Amino acid sequence: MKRRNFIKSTLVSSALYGVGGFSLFNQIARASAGGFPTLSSRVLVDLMLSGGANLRHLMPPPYESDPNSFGYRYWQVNAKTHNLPADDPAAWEQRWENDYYHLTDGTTSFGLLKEATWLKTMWDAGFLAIVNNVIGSNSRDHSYCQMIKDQGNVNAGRNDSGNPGWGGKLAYTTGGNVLALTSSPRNFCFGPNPNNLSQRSNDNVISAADTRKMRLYHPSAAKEKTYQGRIARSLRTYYAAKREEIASDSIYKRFTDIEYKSRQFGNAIDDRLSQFAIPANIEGLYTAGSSNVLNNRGLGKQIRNLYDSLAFSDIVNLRAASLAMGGWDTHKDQKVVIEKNFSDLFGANKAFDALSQNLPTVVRENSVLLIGGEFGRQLKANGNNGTDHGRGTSFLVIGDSVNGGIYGDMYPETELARLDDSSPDITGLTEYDHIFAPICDWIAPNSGNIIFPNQAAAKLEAGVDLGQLFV
Amino acid sequence: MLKKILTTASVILITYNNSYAAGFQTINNADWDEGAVRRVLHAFAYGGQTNEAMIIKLAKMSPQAAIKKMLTFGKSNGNISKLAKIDAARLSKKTNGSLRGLGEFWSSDDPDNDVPENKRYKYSVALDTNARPAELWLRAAVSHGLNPFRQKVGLWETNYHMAVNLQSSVNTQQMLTYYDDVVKSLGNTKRAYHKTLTTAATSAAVAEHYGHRNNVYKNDVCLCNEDFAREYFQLFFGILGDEDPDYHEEITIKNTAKALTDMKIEYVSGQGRVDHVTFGTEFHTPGTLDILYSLNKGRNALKRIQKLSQVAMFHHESRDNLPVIIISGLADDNLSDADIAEIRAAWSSMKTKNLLSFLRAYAISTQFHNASRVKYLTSIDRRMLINTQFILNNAEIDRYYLPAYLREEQAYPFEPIHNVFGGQTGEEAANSSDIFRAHYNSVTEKNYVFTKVAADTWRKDWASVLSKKLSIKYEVDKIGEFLWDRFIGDGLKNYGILERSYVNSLLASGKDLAYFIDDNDLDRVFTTEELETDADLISILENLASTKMALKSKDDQERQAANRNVGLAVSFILGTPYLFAREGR
Repeated sequence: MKRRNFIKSTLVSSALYGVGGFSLFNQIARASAGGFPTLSSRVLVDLMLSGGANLRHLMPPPYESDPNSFGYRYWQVNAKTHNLPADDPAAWEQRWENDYYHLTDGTTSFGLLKEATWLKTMWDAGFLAIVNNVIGSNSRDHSYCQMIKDQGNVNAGRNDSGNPGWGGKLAYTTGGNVLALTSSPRNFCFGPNPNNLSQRSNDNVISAADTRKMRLYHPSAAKEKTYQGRIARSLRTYYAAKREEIASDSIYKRFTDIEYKSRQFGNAIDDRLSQFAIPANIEGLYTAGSSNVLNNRGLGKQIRNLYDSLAFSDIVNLRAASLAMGGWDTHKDQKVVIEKNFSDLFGANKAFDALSQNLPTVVRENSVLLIGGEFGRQLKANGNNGTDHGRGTSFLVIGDSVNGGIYGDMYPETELARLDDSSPDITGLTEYDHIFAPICDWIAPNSGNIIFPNQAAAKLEAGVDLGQLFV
Repeated sequence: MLKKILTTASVILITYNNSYAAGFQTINNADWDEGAVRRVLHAFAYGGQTNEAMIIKLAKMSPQAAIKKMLTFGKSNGNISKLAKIDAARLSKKTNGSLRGLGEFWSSDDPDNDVPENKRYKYSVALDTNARPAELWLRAAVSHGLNPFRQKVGLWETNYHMAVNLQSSVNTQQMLTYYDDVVKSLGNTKRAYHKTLTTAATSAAVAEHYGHRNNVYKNDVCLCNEDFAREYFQLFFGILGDEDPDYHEEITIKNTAKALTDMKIEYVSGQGRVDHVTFGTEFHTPGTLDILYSLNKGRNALKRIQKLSQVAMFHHESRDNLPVIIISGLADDNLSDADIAEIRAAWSSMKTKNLLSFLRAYAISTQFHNASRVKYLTSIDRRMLINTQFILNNAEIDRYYLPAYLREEQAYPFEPIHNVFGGQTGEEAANSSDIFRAHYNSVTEKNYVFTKVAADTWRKDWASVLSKKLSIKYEVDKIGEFLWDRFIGDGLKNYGILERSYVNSLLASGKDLAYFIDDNDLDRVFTTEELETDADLISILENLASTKMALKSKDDQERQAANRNVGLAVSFILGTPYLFAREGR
């Protein structure tokens, strides 16, 4: 096959590749040459807090002096997780006064860890929604609950790991792609197989663990005949032929698909990013010795990847980006571990603060950040200054278009009666469907019902209306 | 035979005479051929380091006899990993085969030590040095004269099934001891598998990672975390408590946390925490604990876990799930319901659960050799396969350094990316365009690794591993087949005319096919159809295929060129999609 024919065939295959691939050339053609491109669609950024985050530690109730009150009992049974004596109310009160912002929505007062400066800014601006008493499963098994959360399917069984994720479904439904910014794509990213919608496919996923290395090697003209050049040219032409010849049900087809997608997107992305210097405070997140380096430098890299992804969102037809952060399974020494994490995420000039400083308003207005873990923690400290697995939890929804506030009872009084149980946890009242579907609808109107067809049957806390999640 | 029936009021302990006949259906002798031998080597030993004669010999045996020779947990196994002629040290004689023992030798001044002097520090295991378990394992797994099956299963046990992580508080000495103790336990072939799980569960590495070394029972209160109490059942045994979640949460897990008390790990100034647990009684929970519908007794955590592991191994969820965890982890990403049923039946048929017997039975089963079996390679699997097959003798090991690649692909041994849930899986690797890209670029942009064939007194010598049959003519076509089977191991199933044409061109000329045919049309794409029907191309390909390679030439430059062409062909083979997965047939 001559070069002319090869080019022709790749154009044809891209058209057949799926809606995500189909729009590629149009998108490249109208991409901005210099500045930050306008998002071609609204974008969901989903951050998984792997391990099951204790968000009560971030947002505890105000200390109260009445021994029967929620605010007293919380601090009493969780004193150890704050490295405080279990019998020293004065120390609890001091901790509350010194280390937490005191916030309110007019009805509920709550604390916010002072390390979370950026999050306070979001709250003050009305861009932070706190959704409480959320549940995906009655299990406390990390991997199973992560699968349920990633699939957004509270009915998923343990053996359903091959089912698509809700980020992938969103991308598939809206004709775009999910960018997996983690070391390997989460279940969240995989869309349905067009031939069998209950099975997953990687057609709508682009993994981008390092957005600055997206190109498959190909030699410059001067190096075409080097040893590297000979093999790179061989493989490029070999794959061009192979992808046309390989059986559609071959287990190796996914690799010819990946090669094709990498070659097409990789070159365009590299060309785009060559115009974008990494902002200094984003580079600092993962650079040892910088003034704002994160404890978790892997997260810093993901933030850089996210910045880049938004910068080339038009090329990949970005609908969702997937991030993950470990270190939330705080069975021991919770204060030390978790506060580093919160600082990394929400501290001044740290992950999301640094990112948002570098995003144009129009990008911030058209993106939403969803943060949550696979489950929560138990209501009281264990014997190792930590907390063990619990089921109910809270989620944070953040963005310039978010209708900030508290959704669901932040501190249910009914918990008090269960504190002496052996494994008390937050009672789950709102299932995932009711949070995730409105987000999908905001990204693409009417997509929520398609992606979450069981929403009507899903549990929802009385009095909560998540249809108001966006302005 | 001892048989006690245990209920919540009494302990269930059933021990029969050892009987290791697992109930898989064994493949026919006729199907046990060279391809079958290679499949086993690729699935369980990174392709092995044996020669064609040995593969033929193993293929001529009955599958039952051959598999006993191939899969062993001994420190060495000459049937699947032979010393090269020039290898100086018989590692199995010089060391006890443990990572620590190997490290002592590789960091020593022993005259037979193949490790260059300036690199020996990497293998030091002395308490006052920075031990590197990953570097030790990587070398052990590719060293000729050891046993890659032992290392592969050892890695799976300690990095996947019962994973702990050097990125947590586990120190390198604890990790070395953990690995060596688990592998040593597996090496005792008559030892029941639950004892290996007990060894792991009571190790310093696990107590350190999960933090239950701090668990104490004081004043009738368990000052505990329940992290390992949960994962001991879920990850080690596959017990999720689905039958009665409340009992599992409120009774089994809570009481197991109480059983895991007073497990101190001494701190030694200048060394950190030691590599073993001291099982105390002062702060250990007294009395009987209701766990897993059994009554658990023991004066310390060790005694309790020893008993609990026996019970857990025979719990119905473990019987169902653990064998599936093993097979899906090591050999099959595409298990059907029927496969799972057969795996469970085979496991259940073993009155004493024994991992080696189970794996041997599986490796010669119709299920393993069935076309539906698919195993996607992890980054470690892929990189180890490449190095195991490309390194021709132990003196070459340091020329093919893996850590940087594995770091890039976030698949570094003993630092599992999912923490206690294990390292990168094959499915994850196969779904990641990042991994594909990193690999692709390593065999193209960085293929100097494969094309470098000489330095000082060293020469790459592919002729040293060719069979007598191949050595008669050194014919390109045959050498291409040899290389494909060495690295892909599919019995040439996927070695079509497209692949063969590219490989033969590189072997015969050192040039890719387009360059060889017309250096003004370097981007020409060849299709299978034209390669099969175009008369000019057919003629060219015939000439390339019959070219004799100068791998035994007396001229050093010619020999180097021939070996470089092999390196180029290997680069190409490694870049094809067929490297990334293995099929049953």
